[in-house]
Amino acid sequence: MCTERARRARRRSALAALTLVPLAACNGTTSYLDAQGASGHPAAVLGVWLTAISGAVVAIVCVAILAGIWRHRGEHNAPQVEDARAKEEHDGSAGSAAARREIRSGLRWIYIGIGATVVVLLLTFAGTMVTLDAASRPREVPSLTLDVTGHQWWWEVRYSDLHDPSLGFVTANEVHLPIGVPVRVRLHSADVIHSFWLPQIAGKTDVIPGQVNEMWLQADHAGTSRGSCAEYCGLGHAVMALAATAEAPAAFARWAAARRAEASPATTPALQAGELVFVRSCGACHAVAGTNALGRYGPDLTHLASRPSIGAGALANTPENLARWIRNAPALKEGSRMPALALDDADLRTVVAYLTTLR
Amino acid sequence: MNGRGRREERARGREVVRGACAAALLTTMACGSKEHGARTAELAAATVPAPAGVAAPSVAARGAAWLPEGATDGDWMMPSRDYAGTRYSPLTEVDTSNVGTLQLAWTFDDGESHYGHEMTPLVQGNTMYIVSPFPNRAYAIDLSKPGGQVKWKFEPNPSPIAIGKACCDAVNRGAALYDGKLIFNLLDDHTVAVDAATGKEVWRTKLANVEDGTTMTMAPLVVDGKVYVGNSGGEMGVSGWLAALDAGTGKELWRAYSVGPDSMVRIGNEFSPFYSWMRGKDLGVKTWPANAWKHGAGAVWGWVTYDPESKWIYYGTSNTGPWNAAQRPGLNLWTSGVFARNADDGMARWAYVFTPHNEWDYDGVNENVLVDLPIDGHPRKVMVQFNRNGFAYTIDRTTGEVLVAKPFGHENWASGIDPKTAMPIVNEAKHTVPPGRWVRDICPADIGVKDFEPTAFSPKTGLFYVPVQNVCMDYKGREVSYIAGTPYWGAHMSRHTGPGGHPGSFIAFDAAKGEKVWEIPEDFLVYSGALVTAGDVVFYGTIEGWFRAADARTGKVLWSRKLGSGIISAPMAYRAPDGHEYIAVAAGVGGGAMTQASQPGFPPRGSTYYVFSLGKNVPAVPPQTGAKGEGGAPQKTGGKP
Amino acid sequence: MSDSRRAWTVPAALLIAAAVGCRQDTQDVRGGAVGDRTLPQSQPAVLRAADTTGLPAEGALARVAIGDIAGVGNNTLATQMKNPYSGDMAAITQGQELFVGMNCAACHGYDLKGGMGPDLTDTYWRYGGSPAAIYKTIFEGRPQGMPAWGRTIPPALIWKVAAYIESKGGAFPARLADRGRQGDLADEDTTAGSTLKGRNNVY
Repeated sequence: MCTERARRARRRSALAALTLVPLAACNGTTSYLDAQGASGHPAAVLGVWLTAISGAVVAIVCVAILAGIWRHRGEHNAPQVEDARAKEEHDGSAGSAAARREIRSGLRWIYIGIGATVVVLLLTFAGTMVTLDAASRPREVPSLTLDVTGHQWWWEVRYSDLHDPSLGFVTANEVHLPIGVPVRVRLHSADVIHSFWLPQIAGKTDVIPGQVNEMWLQADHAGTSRGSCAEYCGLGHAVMALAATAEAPAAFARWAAARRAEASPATTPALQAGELVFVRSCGACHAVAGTNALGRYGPDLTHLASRPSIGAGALANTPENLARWIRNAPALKEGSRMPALALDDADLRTVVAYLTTLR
Repeated sequence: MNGRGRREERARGREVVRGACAAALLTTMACGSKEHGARTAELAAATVPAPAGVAAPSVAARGAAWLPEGATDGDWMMPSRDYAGTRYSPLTEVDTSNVGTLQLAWTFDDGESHYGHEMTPLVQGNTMYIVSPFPNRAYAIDLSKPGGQVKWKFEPNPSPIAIGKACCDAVNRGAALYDGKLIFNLLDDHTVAVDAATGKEVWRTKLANVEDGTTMTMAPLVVDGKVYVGNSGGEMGVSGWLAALDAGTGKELWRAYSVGPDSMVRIGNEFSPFYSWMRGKDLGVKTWPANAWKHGAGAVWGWVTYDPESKWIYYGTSNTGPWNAAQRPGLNLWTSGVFARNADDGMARWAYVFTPHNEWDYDGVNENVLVDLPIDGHPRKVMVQFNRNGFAYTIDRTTGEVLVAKPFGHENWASGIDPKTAMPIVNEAKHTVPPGRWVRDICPADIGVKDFEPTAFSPKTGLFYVPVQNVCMDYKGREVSYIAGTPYWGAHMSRHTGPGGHPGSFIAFDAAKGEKVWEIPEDFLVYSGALVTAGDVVFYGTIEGWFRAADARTGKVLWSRKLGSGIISAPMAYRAPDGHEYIAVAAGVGGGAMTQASQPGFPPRGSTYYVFSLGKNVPAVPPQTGAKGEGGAPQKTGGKP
Repeated sequence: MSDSRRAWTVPAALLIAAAVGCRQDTQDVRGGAVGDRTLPQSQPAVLRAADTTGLPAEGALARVAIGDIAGVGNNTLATQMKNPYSGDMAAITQGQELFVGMNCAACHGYDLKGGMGPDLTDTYWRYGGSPAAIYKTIFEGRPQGMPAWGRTIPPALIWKVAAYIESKGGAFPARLADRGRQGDLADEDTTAGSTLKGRNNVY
């Protein structure tokens, strides 16, 4: 029959929907639910609670509907109601008392439902406000500032200290954070809208050209994680990763000092030749501090050899991949602004050897 | 009334209106006519009258120690005539009563009209010396011959690469005469010394690589056996420096950089700046982000002055590199400032930075004039700089304390200089960082209220005579890469005239009080230096080409002459072999004045030096060279028709 | 389609999409540490040839004369070499970005009207104003301070910068290169037949 088929269809779709839920757990390291940082964790907790409450509400409603269906299975509700109405009209007030009682008992459930819902909503609202407060402001004024500039399709990361300008330095596609220390992040865009997202540490914040968005981060657990751009920004959007490392403050200070330092000078003739090729063929776009290559068009490469990837997550950082990248970057990362360089084999080998010394 | 009558009435009405309009137009034209005579009267009327009875200043008389060795009253052996930088001539033949009779005596053209002429000619004895802009040819002119005759010519052949690296025209700001040598810089980073008598090269020293974007345009200061020279390239991301060379051999003795660790900047234990924010170790590195100081500029392309009593030299450093200040947070010492150094070993004694974290290209290279002025009733040894940023600084030259700092022209980027720290109080709306947006109407523009064109100081009036610029800019910063040999700029600008409608003016300024005394407004930029003489006459020129003489006490214009091109150099006065006073100036517009090139009436380029004297000194027919007869009677020469 | 089958289509589609997406992520995670994602083995790295084919050969460019060296009148073909990116808006846009990013604008002006360097919008070219001549000037540098970019910027990008300069109206079209050498084109409408709409700024 028509309704029997409809009921079976509804049951099947419910089952199908349920099967999708476990798939959400497939998102290993880039799930917002995994956020551990002081600004991201409250949001993750709120997310879990909201999911749980919503799930509970869905469950309760489903159970109630199913219970209702089960209890009244085999009955024809529609004619009963019609009879009651017809009887009311026919009898006047006498036979409608029963109908009114039935209606009042139904109303009781509605009142209970509304009351429970309001309480739950108020609690949720309170939880949301608490989370927003925790996420919007750090407990202390951050002294470490990160200026992150989103380019198509890489991240320029500039560290600066409020009080001492000589402590500032620049790197690309990587972020190191001292554990337990709040860090202020200012987000700039060099071209289009991007979105800065370190899933295990904090939530997403859009990077919008023409304005500076501010957020703060605090990593509370050591480890590495992968950040990425979370707003479609062109062909290379999917390959715009950020390597985020949280470490103890002492280790962070060592890393910062290493990044602040110039590239170690080229000592052997081979390395000097490599440096010359670099300055001549790469220096107009890339910078290596300590040499005359100081371009700001592309990422800073002063400490390229100690970065985990090339091309913001396009390739693993190995000499072979470096050579392939320099030869023809647009083939490896579609849309890449870095052109295919017409270097002959000898020059390519020399410059790759030089680049691998830039720790 | 019928229709026709009405039409007639209307027609008559139109006639009346047309007549009235024509009358009004004619009247306006008559009133606005800029005839030479009317203009002079207008100028005279426009000046602010001086207070009655300008008191004789208590300025110490300067002795021969302040002049190059061997200089007489009639000589002009260095760009500012004396080591103090006063550009004051003690000659009195030309004075306020007779300057109106000045006549053109002779001219000399150096043939280089491609580039601006910023040099002041030098005279010693019977010879005048001129150095042209690129290719920096030097000429010696024999003044004993009528009309001046070229005695020798020196061709240094500098590299043309330098032309493309000079930000602001391939100019040369002058030479110095010392110990029988004419010493000057070539655009391609060499300093040369030429024998003044023969024109043969004595020595040539290379100081930098022109391919990196460094050039040299400044006039050396030569004193006490040393030649002090500095580089240009504040727009090219160079590392600025001042070097001392041995005057006899040209060998480099030491070099003091403007940015970097104390060892490079030659800061040692004797360094004692007056203000606390300039005290500390390696501030030339610490006030910059890591590694940014290496291309921080601070080029030394302006004037160097010298105090023979303390044996200290004073010079300023250029703007900070790059212009886009967002790339270099911090105070960016020691750019846009002034150094006082021991002339012997170059060790810094004190320093002061006029515009820390310079966001507007306000260089600190302008001349530091060393005078003794009464401040608050006490005579003080001071240096006075009319800075690009619009403030006139009177600074104690022994300690670096800023005594007076008041605006001498229109500026709106700072509301004043903090009296305790001597730091500017920047107007929030005029910050050019963050970049990427237009900041409108910043006054002054990058060329400042006064650029390099030097002031003159008269010990008789106690006043400074200052060319003033009234140009403002719209500025948009952008990120810039340092690529060696290309500009390290990061700014997009457009300039316009400031409020009041006069792009330039010439003023007299009391640096002890920080007050303007009188002003001559001009319709064109005033980009020339000043000359003041003991006859109480002050000379200056405009970029349109008007060369004027005014009364130094009242500012009344007494004489004006239109020259072939705009004037962007400083005039000088000398005594010729005939015993009379002559005034010389170069007219060849260029340099930073080209920012006004689209102004209607802007003149073409030029390359001529004009020499004037009193009318009675300029005969109708000057004696001819080698003529046998007198009075210029024509001579028969064999073989010619 | 029957009701029940219709009811299944949406969840089925979602299921498939999720499965596909999930597979990508697990591949990511399986890759190990951050950024270890290499190209899937099934897709060999093909060097895209677009950046070098279609461009004039370096040897041919060597025959393009600088300025007006005598005798060149006999061989005009080299000077009339076309710029493959002339009129290509994407190339012109990239050329403009490079013009600013490589500091060309700082010497030649953001409006290309000159400053430290000459005006690029007038028809006076010291070293030749045809596209090939402009390419050579950028590639080789010139005596009065123009830097040599040939070892720094790949040929394709230099042609794009040349295309940007051409779009400002001062360059001579390739087919008229020889007549332009002596300034004969100063008053002519040189855009007839070219892909550009007007003489002045494309922007």
